[in-house]
Amino acid sequence: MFKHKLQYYPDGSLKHLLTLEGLSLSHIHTIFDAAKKISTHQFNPSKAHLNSVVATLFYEPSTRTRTTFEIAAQKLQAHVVNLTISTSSAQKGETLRDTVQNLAAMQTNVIILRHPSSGAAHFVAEQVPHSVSVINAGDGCHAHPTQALLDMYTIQQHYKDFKQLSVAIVGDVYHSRVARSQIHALTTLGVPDIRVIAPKTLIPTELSSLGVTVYPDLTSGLKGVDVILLLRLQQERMQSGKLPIGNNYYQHYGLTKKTLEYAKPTAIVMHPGPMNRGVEIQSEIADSSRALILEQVTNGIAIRMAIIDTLIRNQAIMQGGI
Amino acid sequence: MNIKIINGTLICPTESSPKQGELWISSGKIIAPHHAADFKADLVIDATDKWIMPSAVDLKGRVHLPGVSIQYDNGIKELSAYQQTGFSQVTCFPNHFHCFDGTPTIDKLVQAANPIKLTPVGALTVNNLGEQLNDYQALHQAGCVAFSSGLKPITDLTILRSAYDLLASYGYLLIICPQEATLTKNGCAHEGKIATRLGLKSISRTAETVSLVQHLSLIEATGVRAHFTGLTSADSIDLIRHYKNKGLNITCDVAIAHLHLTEVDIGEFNALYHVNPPLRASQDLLALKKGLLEGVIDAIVSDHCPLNASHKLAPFEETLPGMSLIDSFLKLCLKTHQDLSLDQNISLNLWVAKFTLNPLTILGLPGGTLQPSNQANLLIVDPKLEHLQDQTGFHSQFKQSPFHQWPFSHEISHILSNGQVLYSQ
Repeated sequence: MFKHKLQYYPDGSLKHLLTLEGLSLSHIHTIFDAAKKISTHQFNPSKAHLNSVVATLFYEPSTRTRTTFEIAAQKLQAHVVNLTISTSSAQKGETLRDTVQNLAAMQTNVIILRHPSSGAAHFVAEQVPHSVSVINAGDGCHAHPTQALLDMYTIQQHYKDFKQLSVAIVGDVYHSRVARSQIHALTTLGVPDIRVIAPKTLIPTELSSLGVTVYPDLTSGLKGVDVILLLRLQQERMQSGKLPIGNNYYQHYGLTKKTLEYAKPTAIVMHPGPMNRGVEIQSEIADSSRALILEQVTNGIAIRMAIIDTLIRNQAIMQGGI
Repeated sequence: MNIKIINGTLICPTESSPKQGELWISSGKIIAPHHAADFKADLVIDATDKWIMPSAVDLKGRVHLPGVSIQYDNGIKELSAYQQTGFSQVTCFPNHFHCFDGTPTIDKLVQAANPIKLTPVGALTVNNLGEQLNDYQALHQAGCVAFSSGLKPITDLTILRSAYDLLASYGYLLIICPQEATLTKNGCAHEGKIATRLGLKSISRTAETVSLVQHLSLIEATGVRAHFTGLTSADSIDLIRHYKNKGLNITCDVAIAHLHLTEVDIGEFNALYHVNPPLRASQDLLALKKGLLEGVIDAIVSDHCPLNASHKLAPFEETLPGMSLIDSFLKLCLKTHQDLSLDQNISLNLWVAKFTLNPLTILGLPGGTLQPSNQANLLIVDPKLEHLQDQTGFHSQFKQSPFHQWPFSHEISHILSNGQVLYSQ
């Protein structure tokens, strides 16, 4: 597995969180352990947070991710700065490089970036000084590591052993940064059976090289799975020739009471949101006890707190503060 | 001025193998020693342990920044860099900003390029818009050596068919950059494992082969002489092999970067590896090398693209594609031969022809050999000078190269242009 050297300090500790590809099991467990302490009110945040500045820099719309990051940073007692790109200098032609270097000059400790281009978080990590950590909150179709970590954390609350699981990812994998991060996380956690279910037009080339089995058919793909990870289908895909018009997708790939029966009776259903009821999922399923969608949102705060805390602690250690 | 180069190894593309010998030069031309009894050298160059070969010829180069109108001063500087890196001739294509249709800047640039020769490729249509056919005979008289639409394909196949018919009737060369635009939209990496992993918008091999098949059908129908530039995939080489065997009058080339790099080199979104067409998979690289050895691929080009640092300072997908390649071109060409020679016996002379004689032959131009009466555009190369290439020493104004700090063993020791020593180590 490719190791993204950029996201580590020389001693192997986490400097940035850019991708889950190559992130070790021990890194993931450290984040989960911290999140668990946060969830059970046993967590002592680092004093380093008191003077730290966390900036969210979102070049794409977001509800859950941005809000949960803000709540997470506030709970850690960090100063939170939100840059709204529609009213910022980027609209006046400022480059991404200039924007993040300005944020660094304002003594920002953590930049949380969402950007439409794959590789944007890596680029920013290269451009900022050592004193700044970058958290990738979604870059193009590449990665959304915090979403995948909170998904895995949620799965862990329901199943003891990842090594016994069959997990199906259903939907637009081609354009999904969430799916790519989920695949890396599931692989690292030792899930032996990772399935991807989608029409061929929504499956990227050579996806099986990532260690997944591709199913073009929903019912055979769902057979006997423990976890169903649904992906959001962007309506514009129908307009770009990737899918037929109308309700065709729901008919063949929508998770309904009927299709859910192919999974194990105990199977859980997850979705990163925002959900399209009647497109990816039947409303009844979304509102059922099998769906953990709101649990995911809640866990998002703990996971994001754990990640911000890890990065700021590591900064303090590297700067000799601890 | 009379020059005698002694004790060197002559690598003439029209000979079967290297041979020890002397090269005599008088009045800018190579002369035969036995016809010059009264020859008195003004300068003797000792080329012991060195190779003597024709200067490089680039079938696909650029002298200006993309996205801006050609600038005379920068163009001249870049042409000078071509000369200092061992080229005697460079061919430039039409694009949105210059069409080689007689604009004063281009005329001035072509004239001022002397002694390096800038050979323009004329636009197939007026302003390269794909609508009205250009006057090919007039453009040919003005110096255009071939015709192309560059990287902007003509979508109206009636126009394309007429253009090919006319070129065929005049006997002019057509040059094609095969890429189906509707299959390359916003793409920046090869459609394969790496683009899938990194979530990069991709360009498939099919984007190249669909275009190739369309053009090959029209070439077969019209009989136009055609050259395909910048092939990247194994499938494309198979197609060219098939149509060459059928007897079509076609040639093709490969860009040097595609003989050394693959999609894997993108690593952690390194924008220096963002090129168009994209770096392909390792099996494609092997097929390109095989194609060169078999003679299916006729030439190697630089595909040099002048870019500033700012063009690469953005997320990978937002950077401009292209590499600065002229400073590495000759070294990379000779390194390819060196690497391939570890496994098999490959004629050095035939290999050197790929970037000297063959591009000129394709363009229907003289030169590219060490035979008497040829212009003395020559290089003397030290084949055993181990060194690391450093971009700070680049002659090109543009340093955006992935070959910085690469180890090479070939280095130019002398450059002769029209019988004058332009550079000596």
